[in-house]
Amino acid sequence: MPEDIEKLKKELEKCKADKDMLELAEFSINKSYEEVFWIDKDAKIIRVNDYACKMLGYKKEELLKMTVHDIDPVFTKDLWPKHWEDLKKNKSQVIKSIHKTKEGKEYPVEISINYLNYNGREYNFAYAKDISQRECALQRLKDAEEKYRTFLENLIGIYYKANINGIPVLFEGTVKDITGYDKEEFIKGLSWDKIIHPEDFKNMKDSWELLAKAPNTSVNREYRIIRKDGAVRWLHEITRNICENNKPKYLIGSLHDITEKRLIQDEIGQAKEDAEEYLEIAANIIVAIDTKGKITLLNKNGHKLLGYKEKELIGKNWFNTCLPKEQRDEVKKVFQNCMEGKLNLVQHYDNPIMTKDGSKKIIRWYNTYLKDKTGNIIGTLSSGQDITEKQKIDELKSNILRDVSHELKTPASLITYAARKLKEQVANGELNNMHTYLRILNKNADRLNHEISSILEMGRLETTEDIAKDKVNVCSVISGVVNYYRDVAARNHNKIIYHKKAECIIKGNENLLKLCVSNLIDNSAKFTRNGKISVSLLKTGKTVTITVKDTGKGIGKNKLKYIFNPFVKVDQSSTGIGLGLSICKKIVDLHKGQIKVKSVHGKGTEFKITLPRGV
Amino acid sequence: MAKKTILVVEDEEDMQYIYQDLLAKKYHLIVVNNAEHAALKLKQEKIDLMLLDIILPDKTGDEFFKEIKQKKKFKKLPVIIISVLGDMMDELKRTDPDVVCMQKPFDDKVLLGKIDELLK
Repeated sequence: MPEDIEKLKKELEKCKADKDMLELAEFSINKSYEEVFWIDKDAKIIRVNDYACKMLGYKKEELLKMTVHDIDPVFTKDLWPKHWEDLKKNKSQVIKSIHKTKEGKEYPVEISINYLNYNGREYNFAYAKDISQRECALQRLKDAEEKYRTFLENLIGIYYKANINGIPVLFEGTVKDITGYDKEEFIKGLSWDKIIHPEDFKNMKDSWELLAKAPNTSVNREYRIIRKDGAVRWLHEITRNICENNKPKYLIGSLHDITEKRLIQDEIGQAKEDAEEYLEIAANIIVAIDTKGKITLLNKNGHKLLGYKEKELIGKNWFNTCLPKEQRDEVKKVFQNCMEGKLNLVQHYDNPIMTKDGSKKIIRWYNTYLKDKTGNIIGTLSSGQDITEKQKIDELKSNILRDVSHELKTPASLITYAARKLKEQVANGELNNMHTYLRILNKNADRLNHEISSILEMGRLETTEDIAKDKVNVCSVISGVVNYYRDVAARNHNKIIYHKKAECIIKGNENLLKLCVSNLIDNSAKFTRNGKISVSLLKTGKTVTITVKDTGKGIGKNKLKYIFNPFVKVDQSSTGIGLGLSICKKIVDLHKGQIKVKSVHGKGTEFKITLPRGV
Repeated sequence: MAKKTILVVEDEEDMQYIYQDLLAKKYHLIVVNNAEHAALKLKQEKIDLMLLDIILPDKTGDEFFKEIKQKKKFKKLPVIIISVLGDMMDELKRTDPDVVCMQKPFDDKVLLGKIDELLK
């Protein structure tokens, strides 16, 4: 029966192969790191692997006498029938349960169970995995998350994690305080874009695009949002992208409300702007220099005053650039001593400065130290007022006052002296010098009278807008004055020439016109020696022109344009307070006429008055 | 004994006459109108005393006074400043207490006494 033998042989071989497979399966099951159980309908353990024995602490023989209920406190006897039915129906399931060791220690397991019907017998084939480690880790993670959440919730600000499109997966912190919305509203889909201030939206969009494109990027920005209640708040946001495979995947970031800070910054900024503006418009020169004398600040007017373009002097040495040479060393030395603390800073003083074109200006300075936070002197800040003009005016005023008092007091003192002398001489009977003193007395009384009159006249004319006018015969006015001055002119060996014309009537004020003509002739008589004073009168259709011309010392060109100003004296050595010509000008103005002067120094002067006849 | 020389710096004609009348018998007078001529005379002549007006055509007498007092040669020269301007003389006295001033109109005896005193 070779055929049978062959068949048997084949079957044996097949059996052997099956046995090999079985052994291999048995081995792999035994060596598996999962507990493996075969359980029957009554929950009895039929087969078990080595790992299950190891984990549960029983020997295989022990376990094979036990039921599921002995090792799994969850699957009690009363639960088992239902479990079996469920499994039969579903064929397989994964459940979490607890295994209990021989020593009574319990550990969590994840069991995957399969229902098996083999040769009419029903089995429950189960793999159990110890998940205590995993559970632990999960618990820790859960705890950590809880902690983290509490931590975030208690922080001021918003902390988020979002996907690359900006949809938040985590959104924590004082969301409501900052935005007025509940954080759930954002999680549920309220877009952050919606609350960004429209004016800041464009910039924000740019930064998002950057975060979505460039890996490992961090963006820092300040922008406004509109709160639920409509209030505008300033936020500071820092966002960083988290990459996977060098591609941005998530965004994490934080948001803080910086509205208060911004307000303060704005206020400070405004204050600074105001201060800078003040510096710019300040009429004063404002300069700050460091300890080396370098200009660190000089305002617009300072530059202008010194004749430089704006900012031109910043960084230059103050002393070498802006002080007159002769002052430099001394001022530098004082400054150095102040900087070294050897000398107290002089708070006010007047000092000259030198402009770009080399001219000088007098500045009244007010100074203070500039100090750093620790109190070290780092320079000076000075505000200066240009008092050049003021000083000139002050000087002019005091000169006028001095001249006026001199001109009034001199004749007065001579009158007093002459009178006293005359009295003595009369008393002593020595009358030899009497005539001279009488002449002094007479002359100075006239002079004093003239000066006082001119001051009063000027004072009166200064405030006069209109005058009483009547018919005046200019011709006889001039004749009268000329006759009066013939003697005066003769003292300096001068001749007065006036060719008397026929009547010439104009509308005017006779007394004022007399004063005007006599002032001109008086001047000519004063400044002419051994010469000629010619007076003439020219009548045209609507005007008359009076000319007073002399062959005197003339008026210097530089003086000529000022001679009609009050208290300007043509010659410092002359007597009088310098009101004569300003009175003439005023009188001519009141007659709506014109006064002109021509003069050649050393040759003579000519005054021409043109008046409307007005009749 | 030769007459002492007094330099009178005075631009006022009438005052010049008064000085002549008062002093010419006893002293040798040189009269000038302005500071420039005064400086010239101080250089040329031996001057024992100077009478100086304050308001002069070319400069103020106090300026001129300060100028000549800076020169070693004139440090000891007696000077009487005579003016109608009391406040200017006060100002001068504040800066130099030794300066001798006299206000116009002066008393003849007082001026003569002062001159005598300074020439001794």
